[in-house]
Amino acid sequence: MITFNDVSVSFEDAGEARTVDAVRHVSLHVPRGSVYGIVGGSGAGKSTLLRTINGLQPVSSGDVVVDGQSVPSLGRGELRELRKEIGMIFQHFNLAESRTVGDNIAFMLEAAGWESSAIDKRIDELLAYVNMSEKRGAYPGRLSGGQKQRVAIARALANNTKILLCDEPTSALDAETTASVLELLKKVNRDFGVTIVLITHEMEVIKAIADEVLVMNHGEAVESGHVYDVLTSPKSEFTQKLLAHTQNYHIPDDVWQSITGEIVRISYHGGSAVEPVITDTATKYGIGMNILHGRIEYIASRPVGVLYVNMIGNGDAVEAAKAELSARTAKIEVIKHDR
Amino acid sequence: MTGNISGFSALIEKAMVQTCYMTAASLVCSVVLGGALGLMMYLTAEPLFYRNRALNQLMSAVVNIIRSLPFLILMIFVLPLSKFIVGTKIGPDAVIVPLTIWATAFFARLAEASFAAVSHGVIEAYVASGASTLRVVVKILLPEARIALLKNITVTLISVIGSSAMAGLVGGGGLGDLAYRYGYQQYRTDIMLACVVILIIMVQLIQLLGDGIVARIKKKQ
Ligand SMILES: Nc1ncnc2c1ncn2[C@@H]1O[C@H](COP(=O)(O)OP(=O)(O)OP(=O)(O)O)[C@@H](O)[C@H]1O
Ligand SMILES: [Mg+2]
Repeated sequence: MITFNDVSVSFEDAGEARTVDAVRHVSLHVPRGSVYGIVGGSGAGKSTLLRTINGLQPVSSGDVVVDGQSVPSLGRGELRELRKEIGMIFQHFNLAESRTVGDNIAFMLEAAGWESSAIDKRIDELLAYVNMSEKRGAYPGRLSGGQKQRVAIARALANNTKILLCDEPTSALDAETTASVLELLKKVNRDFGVTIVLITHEMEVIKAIADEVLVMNHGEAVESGHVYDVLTSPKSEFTQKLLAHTQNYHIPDDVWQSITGEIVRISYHGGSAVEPVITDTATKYGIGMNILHGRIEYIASRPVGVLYVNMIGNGDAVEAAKAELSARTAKIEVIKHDR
Repeated sequence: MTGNISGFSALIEKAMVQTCYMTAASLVCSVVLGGALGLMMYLTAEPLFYRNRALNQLMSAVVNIIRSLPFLILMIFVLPLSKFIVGTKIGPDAVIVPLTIWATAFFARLAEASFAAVSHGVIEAYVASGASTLRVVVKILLPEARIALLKNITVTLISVIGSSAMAGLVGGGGLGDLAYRYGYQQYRTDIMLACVVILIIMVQLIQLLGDGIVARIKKKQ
């Protein structure tokens, strides 16, 4: 659906005589109907890369191919036609404050040449889809952030768009609203087969929604692939650092001090749940295994987890248990040795 | 001073009509011309539309030059031009020309700032829709900028009244002219005072009206 071929974007910094390389030699393929996440720190070049898809940002070199069309070589008129098939949503919603919710959506339909009789019906349909029917006549200034983003999604989909570009769509929302907006985006992807490209700086958002992910740092594509693979076995140090935020847990100092026996950190990803492995091992070697901390979550419906476990028992049994765990889980690290 | 009451009020009334005429005519012209110029300055500064540094700086320089001239000096330069455009070098008709030029530059800058203050993200969202520039400007940019534009039209109107009063020094007519010729040169303090009071009331009323309209729009959206 979207292919980046060695795309670079640089900006002339007006003040000084230097250029900022915002995007450096990125090549990437976004399959039709997928949800593609782009994650990276501030200034990594995510927004710049995203905006090359609908030509809001011209490329300095390379090519962006959308649905068979090379975006950089399109004329003004052709680019406008392409944009009618690409919706966009933003961190700050970007609804026109001078127009009602209905009129914000109507603009898109008028611009795309819809008949005025069809426009009215389409607006009702869209607002019903995003659960905002009763707000058609309201001004955006009266809506909450989550409501605004729902309207913005309806606006972006108005012209039966094939691609939806999302620039940090949940960064201004609280956790609960974030979850509901991500749920809506997933539904849009499922119901209409819309290809979604979504930027975020939060791994949690990637986990919740993306099929594939691109990790960006300083304008470069650090690594990309299926979310499960990238998140469970990150190849680059940068990705590992990004993930560390969500996978390292702190054990309070007094708990740490008072504990006797070893503490191990078990990383687990696999087909079935992790608890049976723990209980099996504990029974088999006759040792105690207390779970101190950790979490198991599901990425692409497969469990991924980190558990901090206190192993209590005689030395040899503990060593044998560790060997067994090492064989049956992804990784086991001793983070506190027995005194 | 006999029989002066009717003469007095006739003088004042005529001057008021002249001031209103000069002000209204130049305001309408300058809002249209200055608005267009301000819009072009905004469009040539904005990468989403027609960014063009050279054209933008040229327009900006012209506006700055006009704005740096004191109105009196501008008027002396421009009045000969009035003879071509409106056929006379004196009176309210003649003054409309320099007044419009001055107010156009004044309002162009304020209009540009009003457009630039519209959320860049909102403009981006609508440019990304594939709509034509004309459609985005008319249906989004202008309505989004309308509160700022209205405030700036009020400011411009009040400044035009002030400048039109200065037109009195070159026989331009209006309240300023009256205050200068009778009030100052002939020591008619009563006329001077009347002119000043009327000008103050006009400015207050305009500001009240401007604020009122802005408040109504804000309340709605
Ligand atoms: N119009 C511009 N002119 C000059 N430099 C720019 C422009 N837009 C972006 N940049 C620079 O390009 C780099 C990448 O910016 P970009 O907005 O793409 O990053 P980002 O990954 O989206 O960051 P964030 O998470 O903060 O939104 C930054 O160094 C930024 O300063
Ligand atoms: Mg960004």
